[in-house]
Amino acid sequence: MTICKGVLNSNVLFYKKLKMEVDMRDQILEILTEQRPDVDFNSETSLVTNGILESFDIVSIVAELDDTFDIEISPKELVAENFDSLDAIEAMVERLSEEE
Amino acid sequence: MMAFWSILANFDLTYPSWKFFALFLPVLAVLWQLSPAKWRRMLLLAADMVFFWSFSGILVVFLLYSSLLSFGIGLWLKKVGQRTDLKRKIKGKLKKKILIAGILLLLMPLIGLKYMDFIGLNLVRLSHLFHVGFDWKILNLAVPVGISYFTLEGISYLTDVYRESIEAEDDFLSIFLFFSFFPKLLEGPITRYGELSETLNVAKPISGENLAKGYQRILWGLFKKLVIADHLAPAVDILFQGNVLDGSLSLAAGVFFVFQQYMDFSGSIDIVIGAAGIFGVKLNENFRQPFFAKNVSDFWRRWHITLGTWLKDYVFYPVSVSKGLMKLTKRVKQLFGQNVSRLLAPSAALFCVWLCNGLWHGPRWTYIAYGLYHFSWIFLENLFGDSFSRFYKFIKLSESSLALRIFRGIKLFLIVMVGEMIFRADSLSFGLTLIWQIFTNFHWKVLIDGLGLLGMDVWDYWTAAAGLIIVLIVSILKERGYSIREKLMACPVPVRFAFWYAAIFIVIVFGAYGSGYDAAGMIYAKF
Repeated sequence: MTICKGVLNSNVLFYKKLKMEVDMRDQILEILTEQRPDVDFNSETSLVTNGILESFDIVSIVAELDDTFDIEISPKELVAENFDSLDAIEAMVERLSEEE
Repeated sequence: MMAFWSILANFDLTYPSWKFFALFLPVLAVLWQLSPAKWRRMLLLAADMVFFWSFSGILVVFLLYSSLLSFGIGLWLKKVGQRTDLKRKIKGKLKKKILIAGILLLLMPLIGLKYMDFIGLNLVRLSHLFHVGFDWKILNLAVPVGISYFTLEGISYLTDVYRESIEAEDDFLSIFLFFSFFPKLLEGPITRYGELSETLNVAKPISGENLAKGYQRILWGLFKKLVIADHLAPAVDILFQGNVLDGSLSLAAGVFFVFQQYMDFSGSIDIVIGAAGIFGVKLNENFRQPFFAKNVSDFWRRWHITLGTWLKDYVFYPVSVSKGLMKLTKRVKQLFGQNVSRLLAPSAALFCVWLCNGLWHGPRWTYIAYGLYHFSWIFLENLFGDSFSRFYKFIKLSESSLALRIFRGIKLFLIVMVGEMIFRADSLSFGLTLIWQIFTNFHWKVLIDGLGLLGMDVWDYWTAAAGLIIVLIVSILKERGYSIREKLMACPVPVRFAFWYAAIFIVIVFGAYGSGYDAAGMIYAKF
């Protein structure tokens, strides 16, 4: 009975975390799409490297991420590797949320 | 010994002078090849010192000061970063304080030597407005060459160490070489330690390929500088003398100066990149066909690229994500909505960038106005950029159509030209008068008569025009990803030799020399 409860709890935690991650991804996608509706963020993987996102876009996105997730994005984070794709942005937000 | 230093102080080593590329560089290259590998960096440092001394003599102490300061502060930042007894946040705050102190100390010589008279004189003007007695005695201090460049390089080094994107260097020779590397001392490109140290400290023997490629690039630079820019220089000097001109001649002044400036600066950068390349050192490109840009923002991603990226990384981003601005953005979002707040942080940071850009060029109101002029265009582009794209779609004009590209090209050229006229004029009022004349007092006949009085004969006009057409063709090919040099490398040896000999011949025959030629007149060396 205790084992079953433990498994159930860990499953609940796992699904909670998964839901949070899905929510976070959706929210980031919403922010990105609002800033640049002309870009397909689900498929682009070189957003900064290929000049799709410009510094003006990045700063606007940072302001929104900062506000939505209550994180502090320092200038050090404003590099291509952190903004080249939706995955990269999500990974950065996750990392900074954990650091806060 | 003193005689040697005084001779050196009068030895013209500007990039387009023969003493630089036909004496200084070959002698250094021979010594480099003869030296044991471990001595090459010392040899390079000696060459750097000779080069610096030939322009600024004892002011080399300022170069040493910036190098020592950056070296010391860099190590201090590293030491604090390694401390385990401090909490992350406290450590971060301490590092930030050290960084700010380091940047202020780096800026002190630049501000003290270059901007004090400007600040003092403007304080006098301000004191007159408020009827306060304030006087300023002009100091006219000597400014070491390249101080605006190596100060920015010092700031980038310290900031990169602070951000932990590079490790602090513990070998002072490496740092001193980075600051004093002679090819980029006068006109940049502005380098970052993380990029330059990779090739600068290797000090490999000179390869035949590097030597050939380096001199080919130098030749291309000399062509731009001597065949085009220096032919236009006398006319530009006359047109910007300060006399109010007919609109047609004002337009000629603007057009000539844009070409002169572009060919002078990009030609010098070609010489710089070529000279560094001989010794296996890779410098970043500073130009990428700027006049093929689609708008002003794009232009600045292609013109003086290293200054633009420096300002982006060390001014634009830090200002735009600063705590104060982020808080203000949130407040504005609550009050006016997201559409307004989204523009606030980047626009405020953009303003700082262009103020810095203007001020970096020197202590003059014309430079500040030039910076703010470009800020206005880029701000408007960010505000209305989408509207233009929608309008082109509405009238069914493809973004890649030739008509739109030509329209954009002319529009961009005119925008840049107006900015350059403000930049070149001795005073803001004179610059604005010249621009005003184009719209209010324009007569073609005056232009036709006046062109003969600008210190250029028919031959000079044809030479400059032919040179510009060659540059245009090369630029079109480069923009399409076609490299003439690579194609030439694949040609048989006699063809290659014939081509390069012809190129040398063209530069010697068609270059602007003689009494009107001023090798020291490299526009961007004075910044």
